[in-house]
Amino acid sequence: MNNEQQRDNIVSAAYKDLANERTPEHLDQRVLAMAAGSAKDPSYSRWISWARPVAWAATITLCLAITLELARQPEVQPSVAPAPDVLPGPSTTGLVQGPFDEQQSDEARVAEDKTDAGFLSKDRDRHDLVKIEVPETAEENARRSSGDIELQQEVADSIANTAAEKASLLRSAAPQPTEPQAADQPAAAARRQAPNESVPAAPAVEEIRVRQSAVVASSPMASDADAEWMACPKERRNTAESWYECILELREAGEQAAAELEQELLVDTFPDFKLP
Amino acid sequence: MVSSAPTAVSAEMSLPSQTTVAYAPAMDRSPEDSALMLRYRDGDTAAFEVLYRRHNDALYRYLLRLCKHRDNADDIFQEVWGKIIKAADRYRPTAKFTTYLYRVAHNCFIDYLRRNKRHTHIAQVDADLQPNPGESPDTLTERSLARERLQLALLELPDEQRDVFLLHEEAGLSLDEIAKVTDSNRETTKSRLRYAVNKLRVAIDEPAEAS
Repeated sequence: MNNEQQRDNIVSAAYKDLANERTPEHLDQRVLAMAAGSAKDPSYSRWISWARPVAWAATITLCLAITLELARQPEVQPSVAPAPDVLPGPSTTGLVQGPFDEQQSDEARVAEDKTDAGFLSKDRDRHDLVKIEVPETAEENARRSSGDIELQQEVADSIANTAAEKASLLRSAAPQPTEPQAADQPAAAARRQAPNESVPAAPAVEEIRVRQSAVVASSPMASDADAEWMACPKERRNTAESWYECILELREAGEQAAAELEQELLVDTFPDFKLP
Repeated sequence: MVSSAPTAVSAEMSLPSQTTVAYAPAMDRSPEDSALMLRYRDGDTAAFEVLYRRHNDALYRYLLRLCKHRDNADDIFQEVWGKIIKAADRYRPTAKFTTYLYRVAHNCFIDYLRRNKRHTHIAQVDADLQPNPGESPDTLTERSLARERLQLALLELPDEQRDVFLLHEEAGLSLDEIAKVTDSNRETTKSRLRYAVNKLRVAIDEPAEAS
């Protein structure tokens, strides 16, 4: 301890000797009364200590839920495909190609997203129907590659539904109903009423005739008489060989579309039959 | 009461930054002070009373010697504790409670000076704080004479030097903590404290030098 520090201590000791004042009692009482008056209720304080974290947690949870919901909405929106009534007429390849090719589906999806984004939620039912009718592209490719018969038959059903209506209009314009067409109407109506029923792997001959006549009748250039003439008769479909001969006759007659369709049905009905 | 410049400089160099005095509050009490304050924040009035009893006398003397008037010291004393009580909800133990308390007291004193700077009675020194002029020097012991001279010298110190000296002696704050309380830098604080101590030392040693 040097001399300066020793002198500092002397000053401090002298001040200590001097400074002996104490706080007046009335001041002590006032301050303590003020402190007691301002003290919070401990139970209230405990509640407040919980309330703040709980409020924060609730706010954060709510924000997260809203954010996740908003982020998930675009994924929920269905991929939109063209409606059945805007489909083109039956192509020359018929059921092999299918009505909803990928390009059309993509174009329709983009157009729908641009113009109809706000309308989607209001018209959810319509989109659900469309979604049921149109499978995902990947699924469609997989089914195509595996030769799924059910898919083709579903597509044929949808075409048949529209075509049957047009055929009935044509029939009313030319009043010469043939026997198979008259028999077709109840079957088509039954299919419309129960669209989700599973279709058998090998369809009945009558049903095939219905489809074929419907496809041909949906062509604007065809008449009912032509459709009846192009279809292979029932007795020729009993065996694969006779059916194939009928197809050859159709080809020779220049009815390539009908022949293709008949050939597809032949392959479906008799999968073991080897085409020459 | 003349202090030479070389003496002041050498005294500054020798002043330790963490000087404590025997009667100053213990430095290691601050965590307990903070804990008591937190308990009071949660509604424990008894904790506040313990805290108050620790600091009330030192704070009162600090304000009494700053204001030089007992009534004003009483008012500021209540104002300081009122602010501490009101701010208990927002209290965070980021610093020593003593530093926090004396910073509030310092600011209250500054506000008090601003509010009353036109009033002349502030300059008047309370009779209790002045040495008794009617008492004969022969009846006083050397020790009591030294006390009288120290008291007079303390009242004659400039406000800034007296403030720093009282913070050092009463609150037991270090130079850095005093600098925080008074909003000044460490060197300025050190210089003010050194000048104050030198003047008081001269006042105490005056009879010995005269003899």
